[in-house]
Amino acid sequence: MTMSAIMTMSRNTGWIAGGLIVATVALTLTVAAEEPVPLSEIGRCWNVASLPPEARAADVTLLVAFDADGRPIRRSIHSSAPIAPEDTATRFAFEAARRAVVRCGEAGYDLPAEYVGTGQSAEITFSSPED
Amino acid sequence: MSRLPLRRILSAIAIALLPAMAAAQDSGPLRIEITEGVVEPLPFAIPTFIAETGGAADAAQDITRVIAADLRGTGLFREIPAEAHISTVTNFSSPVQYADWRAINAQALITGSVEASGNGQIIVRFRLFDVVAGQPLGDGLQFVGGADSWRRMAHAVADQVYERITGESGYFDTRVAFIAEDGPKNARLTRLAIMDYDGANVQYLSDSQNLVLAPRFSPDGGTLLFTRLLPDGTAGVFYMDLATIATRPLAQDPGTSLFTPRFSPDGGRIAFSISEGGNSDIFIETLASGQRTRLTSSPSIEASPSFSPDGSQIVFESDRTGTQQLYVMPATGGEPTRISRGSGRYGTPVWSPRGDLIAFTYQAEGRFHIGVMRTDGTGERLLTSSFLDEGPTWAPNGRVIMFTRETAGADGAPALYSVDISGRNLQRVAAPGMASDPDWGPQLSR
Repeated sequence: MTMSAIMTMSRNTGWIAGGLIVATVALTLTVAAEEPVPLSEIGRCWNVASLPPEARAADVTLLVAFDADGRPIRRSIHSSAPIAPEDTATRFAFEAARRAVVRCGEAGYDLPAEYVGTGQSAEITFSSPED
Repeated sequence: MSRLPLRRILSAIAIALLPAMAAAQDSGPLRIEITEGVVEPLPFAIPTFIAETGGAADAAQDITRVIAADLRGTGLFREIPAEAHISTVTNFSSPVQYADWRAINAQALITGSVEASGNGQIIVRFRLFDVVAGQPLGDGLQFVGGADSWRRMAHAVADQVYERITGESGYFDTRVAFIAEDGPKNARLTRLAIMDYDGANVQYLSDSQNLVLAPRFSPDGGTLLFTRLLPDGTAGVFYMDLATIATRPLAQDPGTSLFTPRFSPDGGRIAFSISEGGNSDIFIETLASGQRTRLTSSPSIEASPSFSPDGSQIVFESDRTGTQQLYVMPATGGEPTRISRGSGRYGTPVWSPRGDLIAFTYQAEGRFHIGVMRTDGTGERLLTSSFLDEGPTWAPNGRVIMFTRETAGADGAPALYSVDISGRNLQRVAAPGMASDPDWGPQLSR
């Protein structure tokens, strides 16, 4: 069984034979939104299924800017407060929130004009959902 | 295979618009608070992997099915059946027809290929795609291994998919040690056994001549500790090298019993109980030197020690106050602190690999439960309830707990179950026959 060696090699070098590369970070998975939605409906894209309880209990606030079509500018999305590397609960909570913003904004958000393509950020807080 | 409801709305969407949107026009920032989300399995498609060589068709089919089963089994993913697929993937390198996958509401697409190299090895390649964004989700990856390792390669692919989507480590390329049971309830025969986490590749490691209990993996997965009933009626702790199945005992004095052993996270120490004259206490032995240190000296029953992930503390069960409760103490000795507060009995505590929670068995009012609490005893939550649930063990990512559930009555039989730490996705593990006392081993491909 040589799989472990391959995994080790890929983790150490980030490269394996065949030109295929290992990704080591969680990435965003988006879902379709067919028409602009109010920003207030992001909750329908906020899938907390994969969050551990500690992350569900963590509140996070995202600052988000929008392009001329009201779509969130991905590189603009950041936490309003620094997240310590060891604070995994908040990090997971932030990632889930970021996914929600991107998912629901595929067709743009229905926004006040001053937020559309101006670079002005909205502040979106995701607070502990209860089961 | 149990699944979460297709779309479970936690409750009506309740949004608190802090200042209303119109207020943003007064140059203040637009602030919105979201307080409700959804819990729904993510729909994915996984067309049967392409067989790149003539001899790889069966392996391609089998690997695809194992990956799909791994993902479905988490309760976080829902597979879109092949009958619903519009697009056909005939070449691993062909462009993905995203519109076809969007049309069937797939959010993730997994494609792959299997190549038999001719020297007894196979090469498994896969790619993961974000269908709506119309782009790959991470880069492709390939695994090379012996043809008999195809299940491990499938689990490794599923681990990668799980990790890329959830941000957490997967737990599919893992093994579980357990006690295989046979015979009537009043004359049960037991054997040590090991299997893949999903019940495949079962191996029996001992015969049923002696009662065996509580297998526990070393951190590297290469050794098991277990307890065996000895001919003189006492119990002893044994090591088993999983490569050779050779066993050797942990030293013990005549008339004493050793039980509930567990390795430290670095594998350099073991904690266990020694019972003599009706009293049992916790000891730690350093493996390199053989030095044995007594940690407790209470005239009561102390058992089931489990290390914190950094090895600095242990949690254990004790009836020193009259009822069985959970205590935490430094692994070097010191005063224990009681962490459980309920009126029932708490036992078999196990520290989470993440270090944040302790899983335990709880008995009250004739029912048994598997629960979790923070390491200071706060935040207690019961995840299961039945006639008999006991003996939790953590998946390496600290997200799933496996345990024994036994049914009531003379024909009652034990089986292995797993549950997410949220309390969702309770399901029976596909172990053969009667099975109990699981211990979830480390991630193999790390």
